[in-house]
Amino acid sequence: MIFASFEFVAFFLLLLIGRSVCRSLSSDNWLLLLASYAFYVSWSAPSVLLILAVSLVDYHVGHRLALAQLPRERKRWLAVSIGTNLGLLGFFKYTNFLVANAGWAARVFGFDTAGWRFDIILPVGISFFTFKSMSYTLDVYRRTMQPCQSVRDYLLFVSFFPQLLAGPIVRASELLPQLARRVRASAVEIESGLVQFGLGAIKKLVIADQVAGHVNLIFATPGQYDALTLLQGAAGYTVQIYCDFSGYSDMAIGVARILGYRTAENFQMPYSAVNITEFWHRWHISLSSWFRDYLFLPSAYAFSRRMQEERYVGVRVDLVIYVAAILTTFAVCGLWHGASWTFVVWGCYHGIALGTHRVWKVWRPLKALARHTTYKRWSAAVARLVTLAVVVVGWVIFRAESLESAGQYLMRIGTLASGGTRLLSPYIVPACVAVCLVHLLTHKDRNWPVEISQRPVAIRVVSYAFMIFLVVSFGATDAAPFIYFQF
Amino acid sequence: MSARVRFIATVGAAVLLAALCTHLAAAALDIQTKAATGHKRFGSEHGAAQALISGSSLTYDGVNWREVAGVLGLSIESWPVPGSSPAEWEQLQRRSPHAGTTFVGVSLYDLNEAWLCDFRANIVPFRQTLGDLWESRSDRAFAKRLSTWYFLAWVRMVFPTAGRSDRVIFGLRDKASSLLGGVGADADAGAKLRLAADYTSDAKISEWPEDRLLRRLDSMRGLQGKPGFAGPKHLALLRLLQRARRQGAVVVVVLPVSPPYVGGLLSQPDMEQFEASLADAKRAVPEATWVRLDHVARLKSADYFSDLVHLNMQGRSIATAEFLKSLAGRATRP
Repeated sequence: MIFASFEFVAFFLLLLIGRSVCRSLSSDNWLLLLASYAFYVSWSAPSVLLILAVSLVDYHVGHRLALAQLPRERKRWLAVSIGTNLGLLGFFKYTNFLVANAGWAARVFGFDTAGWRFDIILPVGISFFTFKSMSYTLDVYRRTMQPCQSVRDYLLFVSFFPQLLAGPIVRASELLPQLARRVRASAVEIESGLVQFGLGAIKKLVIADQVAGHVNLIFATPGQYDALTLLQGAAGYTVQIYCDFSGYSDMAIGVARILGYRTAENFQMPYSAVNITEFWHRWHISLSSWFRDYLFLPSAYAFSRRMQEERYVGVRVDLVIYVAAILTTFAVCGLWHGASWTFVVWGCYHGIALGTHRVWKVWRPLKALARHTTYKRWSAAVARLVTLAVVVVGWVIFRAESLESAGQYLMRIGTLASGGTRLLSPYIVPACVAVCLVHLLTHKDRNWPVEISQRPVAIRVVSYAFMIFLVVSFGATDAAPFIYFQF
Repeated sequence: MSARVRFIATVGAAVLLAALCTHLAAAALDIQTKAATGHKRFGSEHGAAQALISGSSLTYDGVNWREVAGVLGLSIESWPVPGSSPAEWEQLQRRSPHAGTTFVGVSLYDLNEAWLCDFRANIVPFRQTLGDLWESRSDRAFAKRLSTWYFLAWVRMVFPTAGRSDRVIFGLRDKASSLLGGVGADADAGAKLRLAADYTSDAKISEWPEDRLLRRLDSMRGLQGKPGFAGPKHLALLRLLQRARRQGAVVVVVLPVSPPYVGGLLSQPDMEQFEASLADAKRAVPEATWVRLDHVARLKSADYFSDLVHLNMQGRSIATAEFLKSLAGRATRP
């Protein structure tokens, strides 16, 4: 059951009707819990046991952490939580990746590795709900929050259906307090929730799903196409992944808001960023902040404790620490996205880009030009373009079937290959233009759903009618599963 | 007025306005929104028709039925529905209870379960669909997709463009092209459904640029999903043939599709499943006459197709001649 389906609309309407007859917080939360598990069962019935196990272990660990006084004991309980979550994630997601790499190494030494593969089905959303649950135990360990007192609320926090399959990875400190009181959305909140859901549906059905076919075609055999077509494919995927994932996030946030729960934005016009650091502040915000808080900062702290000198090979120690921590974080971030070397390389590529940007900021090679009028006028535009180019190259690596394929793709663009088919897509070009215009003409930090729902009635009616018209007339007939479900 | 009432009024007004816009768009872009089953006659117009054609646009493009009616001395009728399949033909067959001969045109295209007729929900009762899904043990995803079609039919009463984005996009492109002088209009018209009772074309897909072929294949891949030949359509075909046999003679024409369609969208197991489906139909109605135009060597060329699945004028001439020759050589000639 995906958000952009009749099935989900029926499910959600039933839930709203059910909720309207609930008279207490307890019945409200039990109903939501039941609905969340039913939603997950529609994807994968056996995996329900997994989410239940993760939730119960972390709930128990949370309490144990609160009771434990000795640092060693606390560390042990934290290790239980991290071990359970990463163990399950590792088993389901990375076993075949490790086996395949071991097989490759074994073949080098002449071993027969035929049949070195296990039939493991990746439970949908596992990367998201394990990270969500882990953030709770980490926060309790750090004593930044109290353990949850209700097993029902904790189960609901982990399985809350709007955020279950592909985030946003909402922290326990954000959602659990909301689950502890009875919430009902006001008419204004329902309206802004619907607008956010509608905007998500436009991104997903009208843009992402429509360009997907031609993008898949181009990425399947990059050697067949000329440079212009490949460039178009790269631009198409850049638009597709943004609209697919931010569309999902918008729908998830919209659904939660209709139910009365507030969730922070997960995307804020990421392609308007003027540098790669800003890009990561605007792209998949819940994941990047998760990595910042639970991996980057702790690893930077760990590196700083080991590095006592002020400079290493003539470079300031803070810079060395930053680069080491960011590379570690983004290599893991890449691996989180998928069990493939393309994701690891993509992560390292972004780590290098962020490290380079940091060095650039410290070095400031163009500071002499800073007062120049032409520089002032054009620097932001150039910075945006360079950032976008870096991101697009990253998406080619991310989307390619293999590293060889990514190399061939980028090489053909780089050498302006003229041989091959030229496929001009009637979907990709308009989609790219539309997304570019939105990014160019609107302020980066605007909150459209809230803004629109506060306009005069006539403007709202026309805006909503236009949104409905776009979805029903230009939306793909059969909505494809969201890209991020596979992670 | 309370905030809740104001909200409901705002959303209601937006829905009404959007519905009006979609109706206007459908009219402006000539999008067929009703399952118009126009009656078509070939041969003598007088008296009750002696024969019935059950087929999709491939059947009407593939064989010159006027010529067939003339040569065989039959009055033939039909109710062509764009993009139809045995599931819809079975329902329309009931309109010709006295047809002594039934010509059934099938192909890899219209027996493919994954390809759903736009008007299926308007023609085939939901109970029939549910029963067929159950009997054919269709997988959950397909059953869901097919059932959604019925819900979509309700939505289309308010928003006629719902689920027809391809036709909206191609319609807009056609309009834009004709406004700009007509160049390039209809470049991908194959994605549109057409009522092809009298349609003929000289176009050859062998002359298509490669990118156009790729785009069309991709578009069909997107529309059709994973091919299959053993679901509700197959059951409907069996029932259609059995009913036709009770009414009189049955002639099944297996029409060819273009080589790029076969190569680009179907695998060897798909072809085997298609043949198994035909073999099953043969066993169910052994008295039927089978004409395998898809086995005619000359028609296995992209020169004889106006798009990925429809024969062009030259292809139709060859197919009609082969069809008549094949009937002439059989004892069961209708």
